Amino acid sequence: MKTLLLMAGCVVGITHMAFSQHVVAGPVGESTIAGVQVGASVSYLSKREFSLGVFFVKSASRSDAWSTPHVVFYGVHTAVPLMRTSKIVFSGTFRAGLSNQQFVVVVPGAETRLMTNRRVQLVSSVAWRYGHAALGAALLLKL
Amino acid sequence: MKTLTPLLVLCAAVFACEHEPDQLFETFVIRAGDHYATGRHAESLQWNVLRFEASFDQTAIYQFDDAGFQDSKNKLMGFSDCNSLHHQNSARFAWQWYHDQLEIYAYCYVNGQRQEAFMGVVQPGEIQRYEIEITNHDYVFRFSDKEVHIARGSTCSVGVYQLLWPYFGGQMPAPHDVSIRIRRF
Repeated sequence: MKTLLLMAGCVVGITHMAFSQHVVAGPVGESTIAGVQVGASVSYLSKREFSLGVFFVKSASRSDAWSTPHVVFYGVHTAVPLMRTSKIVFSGTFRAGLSNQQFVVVVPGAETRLMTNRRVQLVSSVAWRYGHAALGAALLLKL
Repeated sequence: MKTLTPLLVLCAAVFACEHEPDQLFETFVIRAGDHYATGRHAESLQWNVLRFEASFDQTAIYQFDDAGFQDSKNKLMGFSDCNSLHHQNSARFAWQWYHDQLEIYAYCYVNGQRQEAFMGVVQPGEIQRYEIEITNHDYVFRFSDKEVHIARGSTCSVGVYQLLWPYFGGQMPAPHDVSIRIRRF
């Protein structure tokens, strides 16, 4: 957890110096082959919708298909916009972090960010987790 | 409400999905003349147990002209230990067609030294459960009510534990297409 806080500090500091823009934060959830995982994320968004931040998720339910132990997964995530309009941004994403405080995991994916109003963004995502597609959703608020 | 509606639809779509266990079997095929299986992908272990079911079929039966190669271990599945290459520190299940039966082994590299332990026999067509657990000090192999402990080498604790997929050999490549079905869970 100390590592995560340190990473969060670095992310905030570096991105603030590099491209100070708004911060978004909120709950995230992901349906994986190993069950549903929920948590939160905080990230910086640049003017061009590049995103860099930290996340934390843990098991909220188990899957019948996988006899998985309780999972805690945290780390850093980034999103690089591939296409965007004034309301929708489609991005490639990359997460890297620690699963159960021991296992280094990298997760490629993609997300669609919908700006529902000035402060609220809805995110739907797809990622590659445990060798299978995982679907995610997030509700992010501009701080 | 305008904001909530798409959110509810999104959540329903995301969290309503459930996989059927039978659909999760992946088929790995090692083509004649090859060592590596098709269907491999880059993935790392995400908790301290690798658990899977596997079934072989009649393609697991083979005879080499040179009988000296018959006891070469083919790899089923496992992982390389924390930030190690698989020939340095790794734990896998291995198999071979030997003495007219399909034999399963615990197969490790510990600080570069290979270690093997016979685990049992499986019939072609039979679905069997395999498990490797990492503890602080050893690998625990479980197969068919048998448990084997093999001490881990000196390695780190936090890092990448790369999954290792089916591989034919040893030195000899697959004499014909070999098909293995695996379902992790």
